[in-house]
Amino acid sequence: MKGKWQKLLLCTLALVLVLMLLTSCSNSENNISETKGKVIVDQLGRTVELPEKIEKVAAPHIYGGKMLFAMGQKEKIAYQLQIGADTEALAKVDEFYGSLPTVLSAPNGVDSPEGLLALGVNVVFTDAGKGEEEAERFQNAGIAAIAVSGETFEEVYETARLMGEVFDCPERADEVIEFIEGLRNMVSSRVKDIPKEEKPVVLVCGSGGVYTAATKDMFQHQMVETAGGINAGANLTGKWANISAEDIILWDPDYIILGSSFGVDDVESVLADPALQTVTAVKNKDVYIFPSTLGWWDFPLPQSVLGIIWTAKTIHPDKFADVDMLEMADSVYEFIYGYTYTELGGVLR
Amino acid sequence: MWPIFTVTLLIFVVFFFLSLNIGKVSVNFADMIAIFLEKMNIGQGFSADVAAQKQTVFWNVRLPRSILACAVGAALSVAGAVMQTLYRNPLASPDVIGVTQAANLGAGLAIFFFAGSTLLVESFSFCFGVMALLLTFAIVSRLPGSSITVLVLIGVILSALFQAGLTLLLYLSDPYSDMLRINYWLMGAFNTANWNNVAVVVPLVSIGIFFLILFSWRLNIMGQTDEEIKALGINLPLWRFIYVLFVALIVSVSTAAVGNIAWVGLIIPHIARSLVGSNQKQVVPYTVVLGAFFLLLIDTIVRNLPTGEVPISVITSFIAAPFLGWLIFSKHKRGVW
Repeated sequence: MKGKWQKLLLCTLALVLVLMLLTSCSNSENNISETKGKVIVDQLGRTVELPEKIEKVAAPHIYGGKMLFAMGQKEKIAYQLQIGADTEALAKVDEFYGSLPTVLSAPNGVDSPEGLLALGVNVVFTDAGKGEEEAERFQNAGIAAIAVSGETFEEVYETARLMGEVFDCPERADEVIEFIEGLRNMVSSRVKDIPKEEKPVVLVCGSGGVYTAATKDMFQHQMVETAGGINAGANLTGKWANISAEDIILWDPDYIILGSSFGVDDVESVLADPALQTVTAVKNKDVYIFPSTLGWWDFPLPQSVLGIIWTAKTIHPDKFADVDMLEMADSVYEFIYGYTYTELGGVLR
Repeated sequence: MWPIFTVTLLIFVVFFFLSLNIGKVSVNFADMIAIFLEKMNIGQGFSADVAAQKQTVFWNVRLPRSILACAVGAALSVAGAVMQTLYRNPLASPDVIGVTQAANLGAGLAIFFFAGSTLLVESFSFCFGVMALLLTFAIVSRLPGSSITVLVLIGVILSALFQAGLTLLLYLSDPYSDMLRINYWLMGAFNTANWNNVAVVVPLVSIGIFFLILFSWRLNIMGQTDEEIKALGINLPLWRFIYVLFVALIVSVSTAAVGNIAWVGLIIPHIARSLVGSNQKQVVPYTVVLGAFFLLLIDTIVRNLPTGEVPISVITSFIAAPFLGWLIFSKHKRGVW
C-alpha cells in the first residue's frame, strides 16, 4: 500500500516537473523580444529597441493612454489604466475604448507584465515618474517599455515626437504640438505685456484641500505662469506641499484655485474658513474651482492646455472676454479624442 | 518630584507664549495681549491698531493650533504612560490596543466611500477607534480569567486586521485623489487646526486625562502581576477596562483630529520616568505637561520650516528614536535593561 502511494506521489511530482518545463519553454518563447525594429531613446534616456511590428500597446497610467489617443493610436491600445471622469466618459461614448479591460490590477497595484503579454501587448508606455525599474520590469518580460512623462508642455511635446517616431506618424506629432503651442501662444501673447508687479498671485491647491499648494516642480506652476500669474507656491519643491494658513496669509494670493477633481474643500468652505478671512482672494471672493466635470484640467494631460486658458480668463477676464470656454473645450477635446467636450457629456460648472 | 514638575510647567508655559510669538507673520507680545483681551471682551478696541492679518494669524491660526498640539501631545503621552504600566511593557504604546489603526481605517473608509468632509473623516475615525476598544473587550469577556498577554495578543490581531484593511483601501483607491488624501491624513499634521477641533478635542481629552490622573495611584498596583492584584481584592478586569476606556477615548479623539503622530506615546513616558521616578501618581501628571510641551515644540519647528510643512511624525521620529536608543544604552550600562 505504502509503495503504491509512493509511486503516485512520484508520478505527480514528475507531472508537475514536466508541466513546469513546458510552461517555462512557452514563457521563454514569449520573452524573446522582437528587436528587429528601430531604436529609440525614451524620456528617461533609455535606449529601447522596438519590435518590427507593433501589435498592441498598453499604458498602465493616465498620461500615456491619453497621449495615445491624441496621437491617433487609440485602436492599438490593449490596456490603459482607466480612472478619472474623462476616461469614464470616453468609455461610454467610444465602443472600442469601452470594450478594453478596465483593470488588470487595482489602481495602485503593480500591473503584471504577464497580464499585458496575455493581451498581445508588445509595447508599453510606462510612467517615467516611476523610474527605470518600472520600465525594466516590462522590458525583462520581452515587452518594449518606453518611459514617458508630461509634467511640462515641453515634455508633452517630447512624448508626441517619441510616439510619432514609434508609430511612424511624425506629422501627427507636429499637429499635436502645433495645436497646443498655438493655444499657449494665444494666451501668452495676450498677457506678455503685463508687468510683473501687476501679475496676480495665484494659489493652486490640490488633493489635501486648501492647505496643499502646487510647487515650482509641478505642471500647475507652468499653468499659472503662462496664464500671466505668479504661482504662490513658487518657492516650494516636490509635489503638493503641505502648507499652513499662515503661509497663505503671508503669500496673500489674489486668486485661489482648487483642483477640479479633488474634493476636500469647496469654494464655500474656503470662503468660510475663519483663518483665511484676511486673504485677498477670500475677501474678494476670488476662489474658484476648475469648471470641468470631465476631470482634470490641472494635470499633466494634453487637454490641460484648457487649464491655462481658463486660468488666464479667470485672472485676466478683460483680456479673454472673447474666449468662450465651452467652445474652446469642445475644439480641444475633439482634436485630442475625436469627441467634443459636450459629446462626452461634459458641462462647465 | 515637585521642583522638576514646577520647573517643567514653568518652561512649558513660557514656551507656549513664546511659540505664539514665533512664526512667518510677525505678531509681537503687545499685539497678542491686545487681541486676547479684545476677544475675551475684557478690553474693547484694544486691538484696533493691530492689523487684521495679525489678528487672524494669532487668533484663528496659531492659538487654536498651539492649544491642539498641547492637548494631543498630553493625550498621547499620558496614554503611553498608562499602557506601559498596564501592559507591564516598556514598549507598549496606544497602538497596542489597535485603537490607532482602527481610527486610521475609519478615516480611510470615510475618504474612500464618501469622499468625506473633514468632520465626517474625524467622526468615522473616532467611532472606529472606540469600536476597536469595545471589540477587544467583547473578545476578552469571552475568555474569563485571561492574562494581560491575551489582551496584548488580541490587540496585535485587531491591529493587523485594521492595518490590512487600510492597506487594501490604499491599494484600491484612486492614486490621484483618495490615496493622496488618505496618505496626507495618515502623515498627521496640525496645519488644518481650528477652533472647531479645539472645541471637540480639548474637553474630551481633559475628561480622559482628569480621570487617568485621578486614578493614577491605582496604576502602581495595576503594574504588578495579576495574582498580586487579585490578592488585594481588586476587580482586575473592571479596572483594566476603565483605564483602557479612557486611553482609547483620548487616543481616538486625538488621532481623529490630527492623524497619526508617531513616537510621542512611547518616548515621553520614558523621559518622564527618568526624571520623576516610577511612582505613577507623579509619572502620569508629569507626562501630561511633558507631552504637551514636546509636541508644541515640534509643531513650532514644523510650522516655521521654510519648505512647507514636513509631516510632524518625521520630526518626532528623528528626535525620539535616537533618544530612545540613548536611553536603552544608558539603562543597559546601569544594568536596568
